[in-house]
Amino acid sequence: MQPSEEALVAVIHRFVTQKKGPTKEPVTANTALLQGGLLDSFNLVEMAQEIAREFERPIPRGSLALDDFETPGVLWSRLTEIWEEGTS
Amino acid sequence: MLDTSPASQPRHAETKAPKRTIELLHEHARRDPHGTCVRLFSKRKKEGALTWAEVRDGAGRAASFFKAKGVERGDVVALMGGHDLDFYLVWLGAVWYGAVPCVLPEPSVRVDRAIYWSRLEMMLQFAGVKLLAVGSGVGEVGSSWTNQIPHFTYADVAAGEGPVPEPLRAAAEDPLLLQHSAGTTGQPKSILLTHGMIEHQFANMFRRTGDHDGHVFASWLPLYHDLGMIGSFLGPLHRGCPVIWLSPFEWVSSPTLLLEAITKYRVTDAMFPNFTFAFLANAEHGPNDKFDLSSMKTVYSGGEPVSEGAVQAFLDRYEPLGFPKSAFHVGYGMAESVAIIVASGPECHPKFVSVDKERWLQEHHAVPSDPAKVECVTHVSCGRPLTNIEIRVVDEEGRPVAARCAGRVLVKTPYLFSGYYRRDDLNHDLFDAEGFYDSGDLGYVDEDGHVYVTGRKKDLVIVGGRNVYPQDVEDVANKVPGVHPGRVVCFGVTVGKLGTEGIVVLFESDEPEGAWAGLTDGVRRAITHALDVSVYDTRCVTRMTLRKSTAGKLARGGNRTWYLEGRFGDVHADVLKS
Repeated sequence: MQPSEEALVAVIHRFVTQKKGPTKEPVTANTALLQGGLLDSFNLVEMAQEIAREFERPIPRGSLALDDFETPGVLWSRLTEIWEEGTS
Repeated sequence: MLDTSPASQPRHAETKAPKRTIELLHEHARRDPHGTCVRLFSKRKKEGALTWAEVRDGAGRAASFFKAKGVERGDVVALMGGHDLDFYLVWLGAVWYGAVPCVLPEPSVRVDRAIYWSRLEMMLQFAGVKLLAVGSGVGEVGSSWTNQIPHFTYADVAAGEGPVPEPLRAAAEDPLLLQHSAGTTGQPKSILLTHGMIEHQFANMFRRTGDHDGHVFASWLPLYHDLGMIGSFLGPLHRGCPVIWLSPFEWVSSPTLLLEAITKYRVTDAMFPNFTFAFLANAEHGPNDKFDLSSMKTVYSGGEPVSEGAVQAFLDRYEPLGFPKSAFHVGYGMAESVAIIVASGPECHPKFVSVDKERWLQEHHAVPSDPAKVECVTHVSCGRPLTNIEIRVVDEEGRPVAARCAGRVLVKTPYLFSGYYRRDDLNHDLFDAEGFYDSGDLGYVDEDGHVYVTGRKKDLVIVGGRNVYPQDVEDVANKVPGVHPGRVVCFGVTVGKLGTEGIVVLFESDEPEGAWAGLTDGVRRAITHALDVSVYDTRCVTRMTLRKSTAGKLARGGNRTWYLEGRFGDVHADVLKS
């Protein structure tokens, strides 16, 4: 899958639905993933691995911290930084 | 590269007279001034380290700051914000001066800031905090009340002000630190730990763990948690060994950071809750990862029940990478007795025992059995009580039970607390006539003296080593519009894959079923906002469905049984049905 913010939101929406069941509102770029209780500490790693697999781009160890998962939009910003660093 | 040669490693001094924390700091700094005390291990921040001499000198400066700002000896000073080298200087500076440090959880991105600060305000007022020190990354100190007490950054404090005072010559009964309970309770439950209690704990624990050349400790644990504060901060400090220190917020997103730290710095000791073993067992490794865990001498599992599945999965994955099975150990304890009262060690390894499942469930009698012949469950022992610790297992009437029979676990220790700090409402009937404290846990002792902790009498969910009180969760959920007040129940279930418990919340609503998804989202969000915990499963159920006890109250245990039976819908395959 070609990485994009929209694609990331779709991956996260699918992941959250699998873990927590259907949500009333679909996940968007501004959905509070942690504050909304949609993600917890235990499934951050799993979700990051899912993203890396879907986009076929590695996420180097230690490059993400808890704050990066605040919303899909925040995560997307961080991922683009990481992947740009990887190619520079 | 960290110098781990034996000559460079200050060893824990075996002396007859116990030494106070600051005396030990001076001793380590004299013996090995350029040796590493703490090294920050991070992929996000610039790594750094402090030597023993730097920590000693920085603590002295921090003490001067406290004095200059009018803190008096015995005053409580709060620290918030963990992964910052200056934390060491500020905390030790408080002790140097004779103030009493207490470490508070910093706000995570999960929690609603307004709710966080209002809860914190309660804790600060309750503890009578005179000064708040805040680490980098915490952000604005955010409430009208907290703005009334002096607050400074760690860097401000560590810079010092004025001449360095003489360290307080503390007596054994003088307070060393104030430890808040690592949980969600609305009313703070704190324990004042004295110098004597801490020294006794470490003398006991080091005797059990034994000594070896070149101790190097690694930790990701938050320092407001007693496993982090006592086990991973104060313990290495007293022993005089370096700590490789990871941020919990980084570690949780990349658990293999710990393996990288162990490999790079040849770490020998660590301690963490059971879920860490499951996390690491399931962690993906990169194609170029070459982890080598052969340096490990002890890894203590503590803070939550040990699950054989999680430990075995970890061993299956990491013994081939050098992790010695003999390094796996277990500790059991409670903040009411500093930290650890029962532990395995090099001379009494934890036992993994298969017991007859039917007899266990029906009779609460652990009968070792052959899994090839009968269905069994595996119990893991916590080792034996440490020196001068008494464990007594009794039935509901307080009568001692036979070996291998489960009952309430009572404890009596030389470093048992005398009561909760400023909580006279709780401090009655804490001890029986012989001075035993009811741990609230259930378990048994075998003929060999090994202790097995098998459950809890008190209502508590332990998620990743953190205590969560169902009452607190229910209180929050009850206030969510659309939830029928009084019709909420919370309990824990064991999630096998995670190696820890997950919180389940069931609630009833008068709203039509079409509104339930939104209500469920609202309940989940409210709980996370208010308590900084995540709910594993939240479900709205039909009115009058939740099970009541004979007394007419909602029964947590009964509803938990129904939930596991699938009466409220399918249960995730990862949830253990017991």
